[in-house]
Amino acid sequence: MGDAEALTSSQPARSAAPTAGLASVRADGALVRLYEEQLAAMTRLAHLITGSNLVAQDVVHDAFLKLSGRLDQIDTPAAYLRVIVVNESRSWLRHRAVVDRHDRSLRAADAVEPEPDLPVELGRVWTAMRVLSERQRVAVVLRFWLDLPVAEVAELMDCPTGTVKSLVHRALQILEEELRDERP
Amino acid sequence: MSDPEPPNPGPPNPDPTDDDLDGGAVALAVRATLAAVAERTTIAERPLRSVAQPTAADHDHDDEPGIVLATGDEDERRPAASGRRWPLLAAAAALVVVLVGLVALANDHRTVTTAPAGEAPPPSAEPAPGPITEPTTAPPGSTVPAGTARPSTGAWDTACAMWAGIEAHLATTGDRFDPGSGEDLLGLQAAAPPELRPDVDQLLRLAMVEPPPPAYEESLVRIRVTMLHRCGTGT
Repeated sequence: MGDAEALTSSQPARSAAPTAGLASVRADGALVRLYEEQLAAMTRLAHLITGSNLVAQDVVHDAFLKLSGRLDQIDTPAAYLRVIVVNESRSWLRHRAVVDRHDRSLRAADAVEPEPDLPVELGRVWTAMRVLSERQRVAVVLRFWLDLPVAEVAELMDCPTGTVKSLVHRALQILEEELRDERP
Repeated sequence: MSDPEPPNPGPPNPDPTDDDLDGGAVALAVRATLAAVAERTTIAERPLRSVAQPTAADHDHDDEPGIVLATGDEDERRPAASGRRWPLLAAAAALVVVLVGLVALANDHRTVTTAPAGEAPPPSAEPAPGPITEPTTAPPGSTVPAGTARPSTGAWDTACAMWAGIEAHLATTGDRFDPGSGEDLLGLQAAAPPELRPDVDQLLRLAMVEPPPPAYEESLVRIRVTMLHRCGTGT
């Protein structure tokens, strides 16, 4: 997974000094190392899938929580962690879709989170991505952010490769239409 | 001078393949956007202890993270397991309904058994002739136990009232049924509660015999004791 390494290397430098929480942690060294290596990459991945930085932070820490009890039983913790993050992010998106349909008060509360400060053109694309379905958005992020092969995206999403191709294809068509409609 | 021929448009474009889409302008814009958003993602490092050592509230959720609300505050998470409590609540409610239904059925059954029945049970066997003694307890053929009188139901009220009339007649005829009191006995037979009916059947059968056999007196005493216990109208 070279992309994950790229993600890790592209993350901003964080404080090398362990926090007070890390100093008192009872977890073994593997979990600490995994946390330090993957926290940024997984938070970014969850942010891109969910569209919310705050939600991404919760999703990732929940994923570490799930992983912590099984760490000694897993051969590739980083890959397993990524599966958990993707699944948790998808669960949140599905929950969000239900909220959007039925509970306007919660949707108004979500508007408090500020949008990332992007250039205008990129901001339009980011906004247009909101119209994608949960599966389309996940497929696009895994394909274009992690640069995963279609087969690996299909494995992560637990669907056939043809479905992934269709999802990506349709998502790009939708985005193109959205961006065309927005142009003055 | 004729118009120049329009340029040959060439073969129609085939459907874009995934590779074309991946390299298209939209795909490039998406890549750039995702990279830009990722660069601006805030990485929040939390004390790892809260990750490695889940709280008791986390265990309550069956080791499954809650669905996170958009505020991101851990205190505002709605546990995903809360939905699993609904089957338990539904099962408990169903159990309560079943219990209430069983109690209601039991009450109905009790009412039916004390109400007049359409089918009379077979009459009890005629007891063997023997010395007639006043029993101090409920006779073996009677279904009414000796002791305190039970509360009268509607059927027993009717039977008691009819027996009072029969007793008045028997007092004037020396405990012998004449045709008039025989009709009363037939009426009692029709209206008697199930517990009383075998004794009434036997008494009616014996009363029709002329002269009455010794078992007649015994049957009469048995009914009197029953009525005494039931409605205080025995003699």
